Amino acid sequence: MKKNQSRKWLFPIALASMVLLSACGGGAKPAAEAGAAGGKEPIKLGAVFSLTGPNSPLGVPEKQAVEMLVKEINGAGGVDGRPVEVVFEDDKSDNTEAVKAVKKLVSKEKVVALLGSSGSGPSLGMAEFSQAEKIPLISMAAADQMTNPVRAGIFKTPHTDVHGTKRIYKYLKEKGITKIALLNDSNPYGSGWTQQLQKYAPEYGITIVAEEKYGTKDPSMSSQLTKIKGTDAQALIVAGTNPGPATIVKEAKQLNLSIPIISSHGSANSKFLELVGDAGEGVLMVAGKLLVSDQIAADDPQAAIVKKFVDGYKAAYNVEPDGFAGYGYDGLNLMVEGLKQAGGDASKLNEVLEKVKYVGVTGEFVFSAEDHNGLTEDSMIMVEVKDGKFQILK
Amino acid sequence: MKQLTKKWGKSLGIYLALMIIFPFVMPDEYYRSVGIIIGLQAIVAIGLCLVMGLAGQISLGQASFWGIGAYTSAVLTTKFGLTPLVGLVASAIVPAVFAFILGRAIAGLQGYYLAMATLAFGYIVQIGIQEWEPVTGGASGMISIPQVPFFGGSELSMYYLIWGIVTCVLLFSLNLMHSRIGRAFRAIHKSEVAATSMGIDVRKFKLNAFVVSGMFAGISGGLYAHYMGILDPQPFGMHESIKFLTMVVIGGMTSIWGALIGTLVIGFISEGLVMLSEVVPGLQGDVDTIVFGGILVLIVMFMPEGLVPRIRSLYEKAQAKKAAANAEQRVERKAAI
Repeated sequence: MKKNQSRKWLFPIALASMVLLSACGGGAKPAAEAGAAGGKEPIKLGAVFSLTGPNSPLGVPEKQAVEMLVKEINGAGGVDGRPVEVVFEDDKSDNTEAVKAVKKLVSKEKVVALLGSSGSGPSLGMAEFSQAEKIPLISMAAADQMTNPVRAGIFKTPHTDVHGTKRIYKYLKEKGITKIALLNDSNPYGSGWTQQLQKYAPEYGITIVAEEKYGTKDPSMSSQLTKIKGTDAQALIVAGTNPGPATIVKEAKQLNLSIPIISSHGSANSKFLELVGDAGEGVLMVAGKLLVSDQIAADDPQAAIVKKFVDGYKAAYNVEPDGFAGYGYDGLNLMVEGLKQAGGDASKLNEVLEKVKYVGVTGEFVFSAEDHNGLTEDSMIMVEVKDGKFQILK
Repeated sequence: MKQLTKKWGKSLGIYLALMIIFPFVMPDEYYRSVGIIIGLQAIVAIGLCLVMGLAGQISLGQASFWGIGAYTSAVLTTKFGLTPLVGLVASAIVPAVFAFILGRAIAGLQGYYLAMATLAFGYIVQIGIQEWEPVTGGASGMISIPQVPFFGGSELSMYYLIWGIVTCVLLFSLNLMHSRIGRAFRAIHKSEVAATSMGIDVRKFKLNAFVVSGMFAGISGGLYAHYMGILDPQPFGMHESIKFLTMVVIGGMTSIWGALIGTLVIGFISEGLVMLSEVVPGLQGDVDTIVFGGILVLIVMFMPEGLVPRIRSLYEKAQAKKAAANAEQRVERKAAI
């Protein structure tokens, strides 16, 4: 009786949900195919990305970049004659799911090294586990906490707000600007920036004359801008993710705020240009080189790999890759570089990765025992919005 | 206790056997971790069941007690260097104190108002955790929370620790339900007016149920913090509170076993969907939320009392039918003679 009852309900529900979901599903494959370098036993890597949930705009391009790179690596003979296999898991942008996923990858799939995740919370959860199990992890999370303080075997690829802050201050110093105002989002991204901007200001001889913040969902920031207008600030720094910075730029124009506005890499994308329209002319931004991949100087050390990556990604997915795709791409490349140097022996990866030097699309990575991010502020550039496009500043 | 084992002997035996052999049926770290998470949720769900089923209240803020428990133990162990055992005791007490204060303030509220008050409390706690940066680490959270030193802290020993606590919580709640207090609770659930006129101090009983549920959620939260090793405010919001609510409603609000079964059903469905997603490419991510929502709607429409009470009543009906048929046969046989 018990069985009949539950079956009666569960079956139609399961059936209905399956029909519904297969109708609207995408085409994600569980694992990337092992390519031409077959024959030998593959090197199995695990990747956890946020393929669904709020972090999915980060996780999906990261996964696509990794899938593309796996094909390329295996097509070129793999690592040490062995093909690379990456098993993907989705953490649904959730910490608990990320920890479950990483346990599954290690205990069931027996992966030797890990990539991911997209967000900071899930990545920190993964790091706790992989540190205890001594399995190397390269994360795509922005949080400085990932690699500060340094932990054995835990690395990350994205720029941090420290790099952005230093790059902006370097620019301000060149221009002789010493007094600035801040208008940052009150979310973790914006408040992280505020902390770094405050911390490094004295080092560059900069005074913060006004410090305002706004809520991520605020429809208007004109009262903060009016306050800033009343100060003697020579530039305004805005750190937030869209749409906040676009609103600020538009309202600043309406209020005739004439000082230059510098926005962070969190808003440096085509969505910003779309939101801001004509009001965006002249806005400055700090960003990764990938944003203006067609303007990178030919003698730039990153020029070759950026071109290769952008062309490959466009051919595979018919869209321009964004910074997140770059983080994923660099993550796997760094892992593979480590594996090559370790002669395919994953147990040595933790030590070997600390010596890896690699020119990636995000920047030039120089890992060391003290630095598990390996990037400097020089991997970022200043761009200006000109004629509705991002233009690199020389 | 004697009465309890008599009444629940069979169910308890099956439960204990399944619980003990599970890690060996699925000798895989991953399934053990799934078992651990389900156990943690079951503790919260059983507590919520006391509030919802017995005292007839709706709490939409259970995840906040879970969060308070988690952060209490995490802060005490990482910032003050106390052992996780002290942390866990504190993680039971602190949420209970919060529940007491909140319960005192809103004990007079009924139905929707209590739901609203707990909903608001849930938001306050999540925002509080996020903004109290020097202590909780704010939105970026805390890392390197020590493990519970229980037989080496392996996945298997954690599994038995957590399910041991689930068993304690379960026995406590079953026992409570069949005591005078339990009867008082059920009287309140049916009719507050009638209960009051029978001399039951409704306010006091509601408050007690609320405090106990907060304590259970806190214990579970503390264990969660040590199990995960990291914390951020994300899991302690509305979404999780509703998930707990769904578990209790699916299993059956009036039954303690229902809360446990509801948690298991939700857990199995999630895992089933994960397995299915390896075969059917579209089944990914938040699909489980859609399925849970659908199940919740179906349950409320067709089986408002929940799985366990429905199955029990069907079982009892079948037994009665059988008995009746037997009796009839006997009568017929007698007549034939």
